[in-house]
Amino acid sequence: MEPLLQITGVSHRFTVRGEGLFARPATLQALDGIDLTLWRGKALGLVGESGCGKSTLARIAAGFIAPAAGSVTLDGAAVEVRSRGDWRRKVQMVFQDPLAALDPRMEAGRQIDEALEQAGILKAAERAGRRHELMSRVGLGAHLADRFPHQLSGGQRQRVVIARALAAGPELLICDEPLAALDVSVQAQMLELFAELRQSLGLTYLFISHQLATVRHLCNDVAVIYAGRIVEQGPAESVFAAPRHPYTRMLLSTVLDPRRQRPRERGLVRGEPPSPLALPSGCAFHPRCPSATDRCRSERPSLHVKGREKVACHFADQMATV
Amino acid sequence: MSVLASAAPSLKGAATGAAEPLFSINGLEVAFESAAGSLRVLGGVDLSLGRGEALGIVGESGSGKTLTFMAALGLLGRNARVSGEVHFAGRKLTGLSESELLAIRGRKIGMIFQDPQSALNPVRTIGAHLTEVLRLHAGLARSAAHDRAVELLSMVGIPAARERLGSYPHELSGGMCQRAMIAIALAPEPELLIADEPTTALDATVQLQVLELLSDIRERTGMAMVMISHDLGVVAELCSRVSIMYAGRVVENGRVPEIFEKPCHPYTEALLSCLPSLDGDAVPVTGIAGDVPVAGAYPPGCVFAPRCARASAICGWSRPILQPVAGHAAYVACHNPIGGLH
Repeated sequence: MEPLLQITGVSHRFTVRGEGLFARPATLQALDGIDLTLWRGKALGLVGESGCGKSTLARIAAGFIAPAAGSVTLDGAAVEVRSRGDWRRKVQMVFQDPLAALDPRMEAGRQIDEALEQAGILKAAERAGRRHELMSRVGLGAHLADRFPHQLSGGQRQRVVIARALAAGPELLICDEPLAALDVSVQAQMLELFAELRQSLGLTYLFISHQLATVRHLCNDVAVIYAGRIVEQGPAESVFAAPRHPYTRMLLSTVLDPRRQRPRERGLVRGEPPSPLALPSGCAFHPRCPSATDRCRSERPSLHVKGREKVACHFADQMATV
Repeated sequence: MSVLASAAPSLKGAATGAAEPLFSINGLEVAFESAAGSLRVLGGVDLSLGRGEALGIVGESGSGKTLTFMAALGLLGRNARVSGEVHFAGRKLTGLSESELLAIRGRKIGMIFQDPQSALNPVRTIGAHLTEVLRLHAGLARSAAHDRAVELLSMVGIPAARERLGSYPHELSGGMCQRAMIAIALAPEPELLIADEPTTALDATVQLQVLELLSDIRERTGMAMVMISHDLGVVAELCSRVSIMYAGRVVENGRVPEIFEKPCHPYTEALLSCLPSLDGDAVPVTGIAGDVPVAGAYPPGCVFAPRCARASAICGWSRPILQPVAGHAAYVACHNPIGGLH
């Protein structure tokens, strides 16, 4: 396995307005010491509650923002900003709301054409052929090329967005909640499409979702983020089958399966994520953790390798046996 | 099934065979009038729930879940043509005047919605919202209303309730705002709470806490509840019965564990097959081909037929009605239900 994208020691802060009219600006710690490797052809899922920093991490990986500290390398070459054409060609992004991502006044086909032109396909005839191929690849009928975004269904719009992202022939697709705005039946269709595209094009995915079952279905690996740090990381199969971090366990206990194929752990969920403006001392999860001790309140656990996984918890060994 | 066969049509779906339903909807149809003509969006919905019962309404967007209850409570605009009957606590709601409805909505029937931030007035405090409801609907004096407001906020799990009365909606997190909304809806001690996607905008961890709160309150007060949701898991967690809606109709209804374990309608089964499992590929995700039809372009015959793997010739022209399923406490509107005919 060779790494496609490597994120090393990435931290990021935002400066925000303080409380009150004359307050000094406050610093928001969005990400803190993130190390992640995206292996070529594999899918990595990012999970965590809103505000944990997963979208910031996706934007840094996509090269939209330069991290305050740390480095991001693509194919071994460090790239500071997105302006490098190579990066733009190799990394593409799909967002949650396709209606916001598309130009409302341009036909779907023309939007794909534009992306093809950007990718250097300048001959109109060649472009039309590529567009046709892309549309059928994502499951869009050729007759939809003349439609405006508002004339398409939610699922069709997201397919246009994906076709446009594929126009550049990317190697890495970064997806930020791409299914969240869609109906259940359409989500299932898109899930199939993502899996199929990965197979046929050998794509690498960084896939953000709040739906753990979706991540389990699509991704090889998963990273659980809490308050800007990775608290658990490893193969999706083993992390979800035997979580070692109490936060992962808490997240898993929120999955409501109508078929009840596995019993749900009750009573694990409490509290809300901390404000990134005032993170708790020690382990950021301690105020919500059922088994927090004095050590957790004062000493921040670092990410340790435990078998095939990495866990940031002082009591990870005990967790596995619970 | 003899109980059901002899029961009045208003009991259709009340597989419990309870005496009189608290809330029932019979043959509710809604069409919107516009310059372009009449657009029928709801095609004869039947629902009922007994006292203390929790009923889930499941369907994809545009299936008419919210519209059904907006129409039933007289909340639609003037261009809506509503027919059918709605009964609540032995009273017929359809045909009541606006002032008579006002005495029921918010007082006897509480409502909570998806986005609490937009349901609350941004320039009024949580306390002002609560005391208004308590004085208006519960008839409390100012100081009594204040004390009760503190009580209600702590009941819904808002810490430092007394201080929170002075908070504005934007100062609370989404989860805390939804808790405040629930406190406001519960203030007049309604007999029925209609919750329309109350946890959709929330994180899964917060969603679970709100669901646990609702289920606690129901246990303590015996309040009946309608949970409108696109999320089958939410309904399975909270409700004892469920109605599945598709394109403005109820296609299946019955008891919760049975419906999700052994669905009879192909749409219900297909909907379940759309959900990936935490156990990975053990359960394949198959999805449903095609899109949800839009109002005005509903197919003749069974509305689900164009996407249905079990569709036969009859489905193309004959619209199935809800009928009891042999050996099941369920009703299904299908010519070829899974597991055989009625």
